Amino acid sequence: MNWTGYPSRRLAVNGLLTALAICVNQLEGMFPHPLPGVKLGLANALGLAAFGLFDFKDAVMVSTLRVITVGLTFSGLGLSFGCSLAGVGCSMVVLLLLGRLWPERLSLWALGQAMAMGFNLGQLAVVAWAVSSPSLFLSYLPIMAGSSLVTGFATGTMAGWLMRKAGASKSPGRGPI
Amino acid sequence: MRRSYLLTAVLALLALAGLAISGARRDLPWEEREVFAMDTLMRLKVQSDDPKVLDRMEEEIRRLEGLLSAHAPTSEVSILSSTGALKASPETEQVLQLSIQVAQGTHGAFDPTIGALSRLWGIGTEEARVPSREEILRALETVDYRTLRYLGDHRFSLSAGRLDLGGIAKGFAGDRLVELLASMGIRRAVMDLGGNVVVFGPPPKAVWRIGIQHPDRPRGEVLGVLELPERRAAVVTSGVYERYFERDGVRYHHILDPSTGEPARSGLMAVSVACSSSALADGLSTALFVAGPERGMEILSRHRCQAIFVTEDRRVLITPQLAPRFSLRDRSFRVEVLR
Amino acid sequence: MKVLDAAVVLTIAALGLSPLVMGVSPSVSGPLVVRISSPTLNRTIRLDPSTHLTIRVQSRDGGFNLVEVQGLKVRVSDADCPDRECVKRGWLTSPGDQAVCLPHRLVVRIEGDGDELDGLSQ
Repeated sequence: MNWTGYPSRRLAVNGLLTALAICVNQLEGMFPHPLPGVKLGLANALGLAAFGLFDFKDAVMVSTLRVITVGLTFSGLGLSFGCSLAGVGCSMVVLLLLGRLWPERLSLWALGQAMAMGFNLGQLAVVAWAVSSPSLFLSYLPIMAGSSLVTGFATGTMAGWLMRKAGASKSPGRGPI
Repeated sequence: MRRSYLLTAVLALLALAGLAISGARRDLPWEEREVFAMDTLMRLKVQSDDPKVLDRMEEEIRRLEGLLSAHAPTSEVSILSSTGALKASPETEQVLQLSIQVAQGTHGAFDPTIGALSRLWGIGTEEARVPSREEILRALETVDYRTLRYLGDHRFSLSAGRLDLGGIAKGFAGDRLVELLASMGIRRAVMDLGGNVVVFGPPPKAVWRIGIQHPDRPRGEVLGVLELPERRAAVVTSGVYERYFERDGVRYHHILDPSTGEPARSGLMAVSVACSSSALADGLSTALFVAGPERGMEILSRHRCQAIFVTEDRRVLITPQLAPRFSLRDRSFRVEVLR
Repeated sequence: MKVLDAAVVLTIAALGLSPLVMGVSPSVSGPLVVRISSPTLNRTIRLDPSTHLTIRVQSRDGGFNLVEVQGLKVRVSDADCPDRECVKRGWLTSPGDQAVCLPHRLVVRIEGDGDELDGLSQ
């Protein structure tokens, strides 16, 4: 448990993070991507920040709420929604497995990269399934890996910055600030 | 702390760059064109952003065809065949000289004066038929490469017979096109001149991968693949499957033996020759098919070329330098490395 | 930088490079074909210089894509999907080239020559 502060603060911060995640999601939609429906995943930074500030459950909540809200209000429940859902699902699995290694044995930016890779794998899997083309998965894998390294680094750095701004401490459980 | 951020950024960038480089394809776009010339389909691919390159290549092909075609009565080759004398243009002179050299080097297995015989059989045309023994013998009398003589000062004489440069013209075109491309500063090109594969420039993926047509299976199916790292190479194949007609259950293919007057029966289904010169590869592929593996190896020893002989009993005989570059795809054949 | 950081980067890089390593797989090649696959249509057309045709592919939701074959190249010449990425892809000319219409679940790909030969000597 990493959380800092009172439960009410936690709820408020999570709400803010979710709202920010939705905004980033819309903004990053302006970046062109060869595969329609597939996103860069910068909005994952907010989920990562939730993890860093509080706990795994918070990360799941922030990211999942983001996907669902975007799907219900903006993008519709189509392929894009499916990609994001699968992407968040996979990145959360990665977070579950690797999250405990932070901050002692794993840097935040590397965690961001690993989660980005999970996110992209999930999206890619959905697209490949949708067009029944397993070779599509393989042919886009190199680009997705490269993108994971870049956007993952960005999300990790952004999450770290956000956490510092929100008053996170390096060692968990330092109490309310 | 700051140093570790820098280090990680560098590492991430390096990994990204590595991926980008490996994913990166070619610098310039490839332009492609199909040209029907010299009685066959030619596919030209050049790496260039200037569309006029292909235009010039097509012009050159048509020009050469105009000079060398045995069919067109106004070509220089036809003039030499019909009048027995010719003052040749530079390219025609080159081809004729080359033809004489290859004929000499192969002891007549390749013979440019085979025209009367080719016309008699007509393989590849509507008039294809099995000629009588007398007709063959009469035509054979005119087949002798020694009757083609260079008189100096760009002049040639042909004292008997007719010229048919079909066994070397496409190859020559290939070499001319490579020279043309080099003079235009083109970096890479791949040409398929009716089955003659000519590659030019550093291979985009370390080696040029050139397939060898399977002698039994439909067009496009591969017996094996050659991987050539050279910056200029031509692979020319002569095979029984290319042009033939069947009469009474017998298949007559188009590679005539200048000594017997009939389709060559050397126990081969196909021969592929790899040289840096496509004209030489073209001439030799015909010659080696006629000569067969043993005589063929003796001929090869005097030229800087490699070859693959595909025999009727499903053996693939390959010259030692080419063996490591060849991967067989059909296991029903056996590869034997020649000495 | 921590040990596991490098491990993460290297793992991702390895994943990214793996298809390129696997990409060289020997197989018996065949003539060049264009494969059109969608939920409503599955067709393989042999490519040949004399081939000239246009195929209208209907999508499940009533939309369409027009696949145009001109000799040895293919393209999606028109479509009513919102982004028209498939049309923007342009001409497909070599084995491995493909155009994808995600909304209509359509893939148009050139296949044959399992290992993408530079030429075929015949």
